[in-house]
Amino acid sequence: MNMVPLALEGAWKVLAAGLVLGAGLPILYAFAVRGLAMAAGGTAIVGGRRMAAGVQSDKDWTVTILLSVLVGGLGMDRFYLGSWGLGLGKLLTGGGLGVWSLVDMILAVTKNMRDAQGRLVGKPEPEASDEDVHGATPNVAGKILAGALLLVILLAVSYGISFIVATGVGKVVTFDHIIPWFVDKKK
Amino acid sequence: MTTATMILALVVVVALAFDFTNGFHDTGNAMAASIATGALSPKGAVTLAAILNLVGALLSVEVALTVSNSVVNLQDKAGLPLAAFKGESGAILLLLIVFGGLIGGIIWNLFTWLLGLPSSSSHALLGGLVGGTIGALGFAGVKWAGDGTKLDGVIGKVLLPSLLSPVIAMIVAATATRVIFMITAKIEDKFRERRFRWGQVGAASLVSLAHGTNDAQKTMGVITLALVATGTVSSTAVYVPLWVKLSAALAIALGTYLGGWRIIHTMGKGLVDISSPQGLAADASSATVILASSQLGFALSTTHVATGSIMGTGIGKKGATVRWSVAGRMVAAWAITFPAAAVMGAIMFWIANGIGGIVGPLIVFAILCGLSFYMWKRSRHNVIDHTNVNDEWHDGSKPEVAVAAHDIIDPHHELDAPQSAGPAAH
Repeated sequence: MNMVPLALEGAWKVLAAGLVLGAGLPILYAFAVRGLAMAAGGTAIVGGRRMAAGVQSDKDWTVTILLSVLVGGLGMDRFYLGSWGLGLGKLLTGGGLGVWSLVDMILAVTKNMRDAQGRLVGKPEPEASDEDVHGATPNVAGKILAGALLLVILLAVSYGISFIVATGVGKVVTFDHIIPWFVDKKK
Repeated sequence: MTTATMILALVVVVALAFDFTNGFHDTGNAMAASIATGALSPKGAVTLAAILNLVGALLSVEVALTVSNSVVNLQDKAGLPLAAFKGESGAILLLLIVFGGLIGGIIWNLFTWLLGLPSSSSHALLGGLVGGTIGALGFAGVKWAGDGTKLDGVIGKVLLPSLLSPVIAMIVAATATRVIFMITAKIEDKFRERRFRWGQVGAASLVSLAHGTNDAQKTMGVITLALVATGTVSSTAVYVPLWVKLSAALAIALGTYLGGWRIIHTMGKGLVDISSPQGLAADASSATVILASSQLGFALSTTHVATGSIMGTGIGKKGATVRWSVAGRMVAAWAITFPAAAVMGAIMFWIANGIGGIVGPLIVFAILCGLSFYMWKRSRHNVIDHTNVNDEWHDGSKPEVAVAAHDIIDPHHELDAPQSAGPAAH
């Protein structure tokens, strides 16, 4: 029965593709969520405390934006706000290959960035609202727009996965690389 | 109207009915996790799944014209019926095989739905076809192992994938879950729960899309086979007529929209208590395993992958428990799906062929309607629908919910138990 090795080889390829993409995508997502939580600070972190309403960072908002846009990839905005760890992280990863820089830029412009002490830059801490508990409810138009966007992304991702599997993982990392003695070389 | 044409009409109706049960049997594969964590409301989830199934079914460019080829010897490589099925009597024989097979598949799908067990719709279809073929041609008509050079036949397309694919999905989902919880260990549950829902919806949608592209085309292939057998579609160049594509896509979408709530309940609540990060891990794992396999040309069942993934997230999260009694019952259902559908398919073929003419198929059709009605009636004794699909699992085997230290300190804190996951679920 030489179908068993065939099946195991196939299983290996699917497992490799699954681990790279199927585990990789959620893990990337988890990093993004972690980044958001760190940016949000306060109650998003275990043991974190919510800033009292009205507290605001003493750092200048305009300077932060300028630094973020101009030299955000070097982590200068984060250094300015006193977050040395985050700044160093950005510096070493080239602004998280641009993604981290982009997120920070958006955070800075929308006045949602926090300094090392967890205070918002550019606006005072708002009163705790119901949204903090339940999350904002988007309107109908927003939902439809989000749905259409989701569909486009899905199509792109599914074709992307298919393409990567067909051309990449499945062909480059073959079963014989890992367990060479398993496949009969004489054939 | 000849007898063959009348049987053909019945076959088309039954094929669409199978497609419909396929849709509603498999809604849970994509949406059970999202519904259980409250990432989507039950109605919203089935609507999204239905739309994506429709899109997926219409997108599938390359329809599996030779779907039956994997397990039985009915068609040649181009999708044309073998020489044994030439002429009117041959065509009727082929139609009856397909007819019996489809009915066997439907009955098994409905029966497992009544029990709330997620069994594989593809196995039900292939099993039914094998049964019909055994009834007509004996065991020689079945392709058990192909020629052994590629994964083929009952062993290569049904048995081996069903042993391997749940394990692969389980490993991927468990790995993803473990790493996610390591990365987000410092984040409050409430924040994590909410942020992961968006990712979960995306991943679940991907599973729906993949399901539409995979499963609807099986029905399209079967209907086309019947059309070719009777010469309704030219036998020199086999193609899938547009109306077949459209009706199969609509049937699977409608089935998905009605939602197999019993199965969703088992998958979402019965196996593991899932939180939204686990949901993302499970759905992303299912989606990639399904897409990767179909890209590499391996046959597998979306149901096996999806349930494997959900169990994997239970294994991957510290403190979470898998209800192995439910899992065991489910695996038993997987194991008997193929033979059970085959037996039903064979019996249905014998009845239809034994009585003969148009009367035989009509009697079988009546049996199908009667059994369907009976099972629907039985299901009304304990209704599970979108209103109570998220209720707690009752069989006395409630797993312990891990309670972290900070949850005890703050009594107002939402636990990550999914029943409290969101107001959207109610």
